[in-house]
Amino acid sequence: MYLKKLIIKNFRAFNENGIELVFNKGVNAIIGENNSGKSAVIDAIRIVYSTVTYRKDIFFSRTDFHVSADGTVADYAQFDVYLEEVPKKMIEIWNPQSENASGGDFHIKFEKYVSQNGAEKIRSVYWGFGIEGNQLSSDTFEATDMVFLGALRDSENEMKPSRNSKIAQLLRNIAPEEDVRAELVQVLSDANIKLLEKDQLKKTRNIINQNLSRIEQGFLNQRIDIGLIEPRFDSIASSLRAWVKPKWVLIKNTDAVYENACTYYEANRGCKKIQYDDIGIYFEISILDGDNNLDEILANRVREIANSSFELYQNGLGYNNLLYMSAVLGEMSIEKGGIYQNILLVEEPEAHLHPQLQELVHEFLSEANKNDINVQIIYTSHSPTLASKIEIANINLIYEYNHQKYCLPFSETNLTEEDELYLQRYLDVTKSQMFFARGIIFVEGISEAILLPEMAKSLCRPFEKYAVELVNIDSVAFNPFINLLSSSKVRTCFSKVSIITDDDRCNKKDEAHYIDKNYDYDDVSEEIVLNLKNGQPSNRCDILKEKCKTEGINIYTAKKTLEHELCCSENNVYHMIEALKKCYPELGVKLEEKVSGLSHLSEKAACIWLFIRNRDKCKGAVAQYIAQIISDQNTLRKKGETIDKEFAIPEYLKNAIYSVTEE
Amino acid sequence: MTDEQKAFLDAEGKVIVKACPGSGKTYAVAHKLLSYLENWKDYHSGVAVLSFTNVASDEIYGKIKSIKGRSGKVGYPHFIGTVDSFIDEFIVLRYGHLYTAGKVRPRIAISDTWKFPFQYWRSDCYKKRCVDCIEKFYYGINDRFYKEKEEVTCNRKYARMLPCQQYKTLFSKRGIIFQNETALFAYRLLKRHPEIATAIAERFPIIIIDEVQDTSINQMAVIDLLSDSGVRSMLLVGDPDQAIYEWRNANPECFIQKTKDSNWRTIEFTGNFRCSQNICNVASLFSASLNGDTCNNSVGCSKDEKEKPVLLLTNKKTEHKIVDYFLNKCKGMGIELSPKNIAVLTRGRIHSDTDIISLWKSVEIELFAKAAYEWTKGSRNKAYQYAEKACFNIIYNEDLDEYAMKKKILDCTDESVWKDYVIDVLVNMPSIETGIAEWVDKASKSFCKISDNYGYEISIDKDVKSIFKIKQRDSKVSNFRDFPLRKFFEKKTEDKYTRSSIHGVKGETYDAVLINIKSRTGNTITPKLLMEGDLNQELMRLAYVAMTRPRRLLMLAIPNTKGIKDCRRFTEELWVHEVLN
Repeated sequence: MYLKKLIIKNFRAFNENGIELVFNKGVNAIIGENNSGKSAVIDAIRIVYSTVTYRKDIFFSRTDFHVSADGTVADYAQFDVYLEEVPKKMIEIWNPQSENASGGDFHIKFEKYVSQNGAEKIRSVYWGFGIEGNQLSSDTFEATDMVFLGALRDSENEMKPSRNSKIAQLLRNIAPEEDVRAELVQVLSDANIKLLEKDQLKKTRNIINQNLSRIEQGFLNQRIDIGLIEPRFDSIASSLRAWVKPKWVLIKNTDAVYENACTYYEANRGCKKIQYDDIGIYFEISILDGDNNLDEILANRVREIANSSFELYQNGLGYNNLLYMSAVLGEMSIEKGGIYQNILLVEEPEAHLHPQLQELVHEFLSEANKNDINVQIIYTSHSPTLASKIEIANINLIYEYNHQKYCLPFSETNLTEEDELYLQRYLDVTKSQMFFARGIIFVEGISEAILLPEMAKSLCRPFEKYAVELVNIDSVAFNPFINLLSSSKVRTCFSKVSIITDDDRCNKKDEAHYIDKNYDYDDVSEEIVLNLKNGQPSNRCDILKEKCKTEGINIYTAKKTLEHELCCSENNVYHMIEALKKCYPELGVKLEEKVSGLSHLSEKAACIWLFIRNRDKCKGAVAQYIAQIISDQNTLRKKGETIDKEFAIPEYLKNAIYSVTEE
Repeated sequence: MTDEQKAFLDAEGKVIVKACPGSGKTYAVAHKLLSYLENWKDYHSGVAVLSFTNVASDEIYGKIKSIKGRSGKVGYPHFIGTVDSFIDEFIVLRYGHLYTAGKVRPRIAISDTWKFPFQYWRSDCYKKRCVDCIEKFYYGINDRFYKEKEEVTCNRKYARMLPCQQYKTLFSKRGIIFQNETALFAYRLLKRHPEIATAIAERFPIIIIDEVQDTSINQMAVIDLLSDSGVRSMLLVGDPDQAIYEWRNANPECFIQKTKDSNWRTIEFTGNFRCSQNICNVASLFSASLNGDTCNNSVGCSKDEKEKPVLLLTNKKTEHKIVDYFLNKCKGMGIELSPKNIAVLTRGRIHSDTDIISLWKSVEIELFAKAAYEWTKGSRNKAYQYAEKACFNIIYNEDLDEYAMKKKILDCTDESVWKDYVIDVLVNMPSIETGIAEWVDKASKSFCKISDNYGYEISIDKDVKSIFKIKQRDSKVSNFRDFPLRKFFEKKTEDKYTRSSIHGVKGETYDAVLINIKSRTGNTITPKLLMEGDLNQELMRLAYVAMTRPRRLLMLAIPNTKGIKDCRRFTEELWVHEVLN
């Protein structure tokens, strides 16, 4: 059994229209900017699974009702839960009409009412499959095991010895049988007895007993016994602790076994598990595991040193987190009778972990799920590292639009399977940052990627301020992205999505305005200028435009190319030539001469375009140069100084920048 | 345990058990259930043990407690309850909305409080008193239309349907189902959605039904559907000779057919642990299946009791004289006078003269009266339920099932105030020792006053005067209006000895039982019926149930009737004839 769909209405930030999240088996992520409602979703799931049961670790409170912008407080909140792979015998939630007859649903509603004495109260109404009134009992929820790891989880405390520590729970589940438990208790009893044979302990006990009898003067005649812990299974479980063993152990040169260590080191010089140092010899403790011909005395010493170190609180925060998660997952993956659904909710698993470790955590979570039974993991995250790793269809993105919260389950976008695979390969940490952005600009190459942020700054629309992510897809393969970001739902989500691309006109041999590929800058002619003016955007560009139009994505195209468009003013032409002169000191001068002989701006632009077309390696350098010019001019402008030869930003780029930074 | 009982304990699959009186049927069912529970591994599938009355299912609980002690709790995933509650809870209410006309959750009603405007009744319908009891009509699985036990055979004339059928349609269109229709509704629902039957079979792979002779044809159809949908074991236990609930559309034929069906394995419990051999010999003459040809073996500790059953011939003797005679006899046999040991049984009410036809003039007054009786003598929980229902009907003029009613209360008023109100109404009811006419009058005043205090207005469609109303006159019993309310509800008193109707002692055991036959005429147990009546009828089965209650002494008090001494069923070989002059 696993959670397929959750609809939340009138709960905290979510209003009457509600949001709908879609989950899959395995690992699922909920992403979104701060305050978007990710934690509210996690709390909703916790409330959903604890309202009907006796054990509650979270309660629905008055302040959980949605408050709309005008201050009205909703008078109900509702959660609709849809499940998959529901065994038929769970008749309270199983839906006979679902696909493959394996779905199910239940619903939980909180209502406000005013009691006779005027106090406002909350009551919960819940029902199983289908229709209000159908019984939903706590017995059904016995089939679900849910564990929640909060963002501010105190792993250290959770792992500390106590009745309810994760390790204690794990042991209880591993050893449910009475005889196995009895065996463990016996070991402890024996240890206690052995311990008590020691005189020191006998003395300790006797002192207490003597004093005790002196106080109560034989009235109660009670005696105490002392030992490690009282020999009961529960005491064993609740006294278990975990700590990280040190990786290396140092046998100091003053140590009694140093001689043995040296001999061993000499004999095994190639071994990476031994390192010589001025103060002694380091042994990696895994050396104890293998067949390493370690002599007994040395091995015992290494063991001794290793055992005397490290309590849990001496571990780093991040490592404690990992320890905690592995204990929890370990506990969940033990098959327990009557449990059909395991849900692990984790807020920000990335907490305290460096990026590589985050990737490992993701691997761990998804692997755990493949090997073991049926644990559905749902986590919230701000981490692009995690977002770039998880399967796209398993992401729910929560966002705000028009003062309302929405959720975009990526499983419901128009992505084809091919798109998905493409994106999975393509999305890296940087690119997946777009999921956390408010506006996205897709560009096709490095030049745009370098220039646009500077241009935006000079237009007083810095991308950081507007949370705009610029994604360079290094090709014209915009389609998977359009599919990812287009569906009726997405439109509101990524309303601020723009694509910048070249219209690549005059490229086709069979068209009237074709410009020969062999022309260089000195071939510039009136005909070329005319063709550039009258040419039709390429087929690819038209199709893309059409698609964007139907999907509601902004598209801004360059007449021919970016570089052609950049030469949109005499000043710009000057800077472009300067830039090219830097790349090509000799040829650049020739270009300058050629351009100075042309009268019309359009001819000059054509000439420069032809030059760059044949030498496109220089594009990046040109962009860098121009970006610097824009940046410098911007600094001057801020200081109020006059600017010589001000660089003009091409209209279409201006529009593109405005489109993603509108208030 | 007998070999027969052991065979049942090991039986799986489709099994039907024909168990004679005193054969330890409930004991065997309880043991069977416990044998499952001991090794039960599944957390969300369980055993369902069903019976036909709450009393019978309580009895199973009681047996389990007596075997297991305090640990005898049976909870989720198992279910112990009545067949009706099983069908309602797991089929009709849960999945009903897949089948009702408006896809609404069905509402289960007891009587017609809607009184939909309907102009097509014929004068015949009024004459036959069909207009006021639509809840008595129902369809069979054969699609025929019945009123109570009889098929409706009125002429359709040119109409598409009979008026009663049309009126019934008004209910089904609104998703309202009467209690006697739920089995058919469930049957049709499962026919259309066989996957639901499979789900229930998965949820309850073992179903045990006790007192199965009381099943109606429609209920049996549902049981059959379930047993063909993957139920691992369907165990039916009962005795066709003890079918005494035909007035609830129960039908022992369903049972008898199963014993002849080769798909079902039949096990017979023939050893009677209760009655002496002398009593067994007599009782066999009144059993349709034994027909006096054979009789059950007495195997209990009373089997060798020498005392033969007594046929006490009476001549217009007052009841207490008969009872005294009986008690003396008990004393002579050394039976201690106690309600546990000694019972006096009557057909119908224990207080003669309280069986007044259409005594209550409204559903609500009957509910209030029951509530008052339960409040003092029975379960306060039940009392609350009755009173709440009555109050709800009067204030909101709607007759809804419990869930719909709860919802309406939540919507219209404050729940806790409503509870206070109902309890106030209950607490302020006149004493049940009050004469019934006076009681009704006082109850009416008290109800109005309390409703007023709480600000609950009586629905404009309801009239207090016609609600708080009982019959004015009765031709047979002139002074019934002075009888205390208690007498009308008392089915069983346990004073020095037990006094009860026969229905009230089903499944019980006593040392000595007196069956007092009072009437020579009428549709009841009469001397004539016992002497020559067909064995295949409910009244005869009722007599059979009564005769098989005692361990040691059975006394049948009967008005002296011509020919009785020579009757085959009352020979002096089997009976001791005594005359009370």
